[in-house]
Amino acid sequence: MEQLVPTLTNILVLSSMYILVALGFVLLFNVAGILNFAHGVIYMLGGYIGFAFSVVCGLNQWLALLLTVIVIASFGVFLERFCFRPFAGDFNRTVTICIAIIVILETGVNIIGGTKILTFPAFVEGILRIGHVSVSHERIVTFAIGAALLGIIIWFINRTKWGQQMQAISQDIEAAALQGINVHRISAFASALGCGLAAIAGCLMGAYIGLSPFMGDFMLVKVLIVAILAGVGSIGGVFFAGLVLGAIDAILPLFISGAASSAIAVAIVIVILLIRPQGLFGHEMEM
Amino acid sequence: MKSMKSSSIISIIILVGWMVLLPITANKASAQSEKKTLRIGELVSLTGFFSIRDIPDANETKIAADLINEMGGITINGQKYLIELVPEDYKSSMDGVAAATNRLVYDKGLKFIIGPTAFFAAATGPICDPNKIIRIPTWVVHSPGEVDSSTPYAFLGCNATVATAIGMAEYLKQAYPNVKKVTYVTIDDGTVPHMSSIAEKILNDKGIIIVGKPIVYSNDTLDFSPIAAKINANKGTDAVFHVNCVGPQVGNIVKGLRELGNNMPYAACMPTSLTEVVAVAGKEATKDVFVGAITAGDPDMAPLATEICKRTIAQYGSDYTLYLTGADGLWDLKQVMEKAQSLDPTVVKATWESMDTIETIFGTGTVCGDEIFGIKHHVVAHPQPIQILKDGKIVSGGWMPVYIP
Repeated sequence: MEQLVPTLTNILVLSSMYILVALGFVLLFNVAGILNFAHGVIYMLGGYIGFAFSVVCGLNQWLALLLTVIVIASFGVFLERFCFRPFAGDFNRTVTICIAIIVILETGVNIIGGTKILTFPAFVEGILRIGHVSVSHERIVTFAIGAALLGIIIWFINRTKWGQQMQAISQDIEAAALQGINVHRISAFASALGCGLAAIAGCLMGAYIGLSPFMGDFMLVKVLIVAILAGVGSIGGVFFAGLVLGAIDAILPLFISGAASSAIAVAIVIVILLIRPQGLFGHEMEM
Repeated sequence: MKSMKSSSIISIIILVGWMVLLPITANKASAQSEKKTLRIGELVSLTGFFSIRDIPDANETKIAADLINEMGGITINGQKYLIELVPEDYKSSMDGVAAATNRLVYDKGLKFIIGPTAFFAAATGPICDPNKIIRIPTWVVHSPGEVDSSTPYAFLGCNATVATAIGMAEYLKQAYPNVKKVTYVTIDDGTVPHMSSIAEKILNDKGIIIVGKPIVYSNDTLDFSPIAAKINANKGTDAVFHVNCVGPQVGNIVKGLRELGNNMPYAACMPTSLTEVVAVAGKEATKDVFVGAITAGDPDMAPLATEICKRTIAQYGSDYTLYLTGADGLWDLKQVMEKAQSLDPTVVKATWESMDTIETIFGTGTVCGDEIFGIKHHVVAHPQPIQILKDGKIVSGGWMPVYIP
């Protein structure tokens, strides 16, 4: 029991963060067909901008979080309009643009504040202790925010007009356009939404584990694993795949030492993909 | 008449002789008073994940080089040499180290190199050793090929993993005499099979034993809560002994441990300041955590190190991370060059190997490490600084004597 509750909390916190970031990546891919490999650095940038608002400008953490989401979502619109849309359908150029964005943002943040260890101020402090079990309020809040946001996103995608338009575009972009859906506007919105979610995860993880200019690199690997495991085109699959990866990352280090745990985590994902090449919830791609 | 003629001839010979010799002697005198430049390569990660560690150290090394130049530079046979550091970015990768070392050795023809840091040092050997290039890593984590019997031209000029572990174990023994059993924690950076047995011997020498297997975490660990849970589950221990670590890793593990109600003393064998641990874990959780870092304003610090710290803080701010490992290596190199009275790497190497003590920026250091490093007199150990949190303030915990067998 002593080990079980912290492990369960770890699974939930990690999973919710993986899902938040991966969801933005998958949304943009589904709606605009863009593999945004710069999604990890946007997550990192969110953490640093949040830090700037809350620590440098001295704003309340919650207000800083809100402003960060607005700034990063606007940046998402900029990226979609000027970096991705002109190269839509051109995989090589999109990847090159993403690499350029990664290098510029990582180096820029590294030059400005990279040599100092910074953390986003904790949203709440203190530890909840029940008997032998103890969990920090910070982790409870991180999970609660993540879970609430995921609920809102599910509702948004399934219940609102814009969400349904996003689904329509992801199913058949030409048919959606013929129905009068403004594909560019929805793509820009998906990019803003995805970047905004990554920014929230960046701030939450920045408070939980600290900030680093290269924190996005590790997260991008996790996002790619979640997206592949979920299956192409599956937003629902992201939730399940995020939970699977979160569980693997929270449980394996308890039993397996060092880098082997990371390797085994990837091996488990490969085995799942061997059994279901289309991912857990994806559909077969027609070649 | 004849004697007058011969005296005239002698006078003419003397005059001609003066005319010939004067410019030569004058040139020589002027050459000796004129300072030359000694270019020393510097392998530093200006980009990539390791730049967090390397940029502050490189900035401090530059300050040390300026200080040496202000003091007259390096004097060899009456000739003064001013140091010019030639940095090359190794981009936080082994490939980058090889490329940067090639540029320093083959393109720029340099004979002495400061850096790189830690396990990256292993990538310099195949280029430097055949070319007899002396290099002084700014840290080693004790993986093969950094400084050992396979690297005849690599010298360690500062306290690194082994020396820090020795100093930290001594502090643990002095400050927490009841601690007899520890949990050993380290990163999976390829050093586990080499460093674990050394750490065990270091601790055993102080009457402390390691309980259970080493707890090893991956370099790409995002969440350290499972590691903290694992440490907490290793029952019957009085403290944590963490080797080869960086501030955020320690901060996250400490945070996780305190959350689990575990308030054991935590020895983090690293040169980075407690400010990094406090930034992640908070002051309350950082109680009873100590590191092997220097503390600005420490009255017990040697004058030279104090001066470099003072200048660094004046230039980069009071919260700047102070490593001084590159500065220490550069200062050691100056001492050895002046003792050798030569800029020939082979002579400098032989001189270093013949020395028993060396004046480091932290005071007198011992040239040692023959048994543990497997090479005679290639490692310098100086007193180990300890940094602690006392009454909510980061202060010096004193200097521990270090000798590496």
